Amino acid sequence: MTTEQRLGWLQAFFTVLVLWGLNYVAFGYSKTVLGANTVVFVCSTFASAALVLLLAGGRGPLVRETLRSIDTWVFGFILLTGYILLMTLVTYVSSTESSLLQRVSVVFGIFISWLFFSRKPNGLQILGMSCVAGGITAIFMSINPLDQGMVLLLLILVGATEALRMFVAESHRPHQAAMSLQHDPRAKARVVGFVMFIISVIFFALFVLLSLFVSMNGVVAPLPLIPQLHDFTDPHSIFAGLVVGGVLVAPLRLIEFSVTARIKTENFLAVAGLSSLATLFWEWSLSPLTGMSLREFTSGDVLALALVTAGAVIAAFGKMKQPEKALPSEKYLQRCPQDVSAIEDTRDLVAHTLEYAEGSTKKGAALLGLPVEVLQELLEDDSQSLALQPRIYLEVVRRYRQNVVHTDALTGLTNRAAFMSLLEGALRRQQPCSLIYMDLNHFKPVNDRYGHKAGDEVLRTIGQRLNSLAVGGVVAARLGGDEFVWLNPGAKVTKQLLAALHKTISAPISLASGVTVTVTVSLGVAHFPADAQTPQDLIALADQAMYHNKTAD
Amino acid sequence: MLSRLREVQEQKRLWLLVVAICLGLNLTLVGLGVWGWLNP
Repeated sequence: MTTEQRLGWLQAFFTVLVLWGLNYVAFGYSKTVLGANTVVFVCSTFASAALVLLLAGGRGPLVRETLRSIDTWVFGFILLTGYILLMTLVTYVSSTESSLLQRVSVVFGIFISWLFFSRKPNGLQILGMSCVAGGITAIFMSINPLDQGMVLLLLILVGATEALRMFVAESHRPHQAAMSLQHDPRAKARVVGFVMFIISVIFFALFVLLSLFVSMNGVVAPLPLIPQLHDFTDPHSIFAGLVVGGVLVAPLRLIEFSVTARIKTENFLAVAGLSSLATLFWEWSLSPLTGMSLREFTSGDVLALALVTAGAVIAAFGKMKQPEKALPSEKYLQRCPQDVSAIEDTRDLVAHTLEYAEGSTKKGAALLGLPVEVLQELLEDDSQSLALQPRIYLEVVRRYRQNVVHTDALTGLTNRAAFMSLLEGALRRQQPCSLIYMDLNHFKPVNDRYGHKAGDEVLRTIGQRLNSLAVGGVVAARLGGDEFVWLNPGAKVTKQLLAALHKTISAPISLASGVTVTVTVSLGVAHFPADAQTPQDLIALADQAMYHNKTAD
Repeated sequence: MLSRLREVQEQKRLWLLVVAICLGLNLTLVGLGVWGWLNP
């Protein structure tokens, strides 16, 4: 297990056992002892949590990105829907029952991660999930048969929204970007603060409007959860909410985002299965302070609590003992990115590079500036779910252009297309330059006599020799076949340079088979701006000069 | 360089705007709570 995962598991247990537990107790206390209105209380917790997180996050990057990101709005929408559904569910069942029924999210979490994120559950996770499902069934059977249909619907919706919300948090793009900003540790709080800000404003506006509507039209509230206007001036609901929001909800939401990203949603939801037990513990240990009477349990509740808790423990520990096979290259790769085209782009880029590198992962990795394991991981990715991390993608594409797209695979020199664009650029900038066209002599006999492999070896050696000569702004390129060009900055070419090129190319070449061959070269020179004005004319002139020299030889 | 400076300024403005709205919401809630406390 990596340090990051270990930290994630610790955060998960802390969040569920301490923050969630205390949050439920605070909520229960406000409701039963202080008589707080649920909606106004929740509204106040959101508002103060948003303010605390915004102040903790401070100014900095990712502000606009978070507000504009669809992920933020989807998270907000699911959170609000989840709250409304949960508040409705509480009207049908007791708070103990509802906190246990909510754990159906463990089941949803495992299924969603399996279906959409290719994270196959292990045996213990399935066993844990079955235990939780058993506990939920036990509760469900004890519910008034008349309410069972409605409870079942709410149960499915509550579980699905809780699981979906966590998955959105896990893959929330601005938060992912914040996690990678090592130099800006406050960025995470900033992003979550903005998310909470949007939710708090919408939640407040929505319920104020609904209660205004209800009070103005004298309509009986369609749902018992819509507050009366006077509830919005209830000091107990407001002040308790503001305190709970700042102290518990703010850190809770902040850690929830990090945990889901670190240990994955389905595992956090499994740990969350312990929340019912944690709530009971805090209710019991804080009862002398709160004065709340302890809950009474039916035998069905006890059985369900035992099953749900045991299931959660099995699922969580099953995964801790056998953690997801960590990508050896998590720094470079991401699984199932939201932008699906990133997978296709990565695969194309790697396939083309490997083709260029003649199937050598080592060479391909060096060309792209990536570790060999990353390429290996991508090659073995049968589920086709891996893509390069967005933050390194541009750098890899730059290397790909420079080393693969613009380079001749055989000789390592600049290829024809890249050379033409370089020449066009130089002429456009009116940069004086000289072009030397080179055509090998006696190359065809080498090919005919010793085969194409030997011919390739000759071209490769000449490429290496030209490359070692090409310094100080010189571009050496292979146009194709046995034709090379040399672009020299400056309007003149010295005799020494031509002699050096002759000598370098004509030096004997020892082939792997032990045979030594010699090829010579014919050269032709053209100058810009003296001889021609366009790249095509310049090349044609140099070619003509070369041909003239070749026939003169 | 200039665009980077403009971005930082924009971030600052947006952050201030959002914090102001959020503070306004919190103060509204506090105000409502105090009003309800004084006029039970």
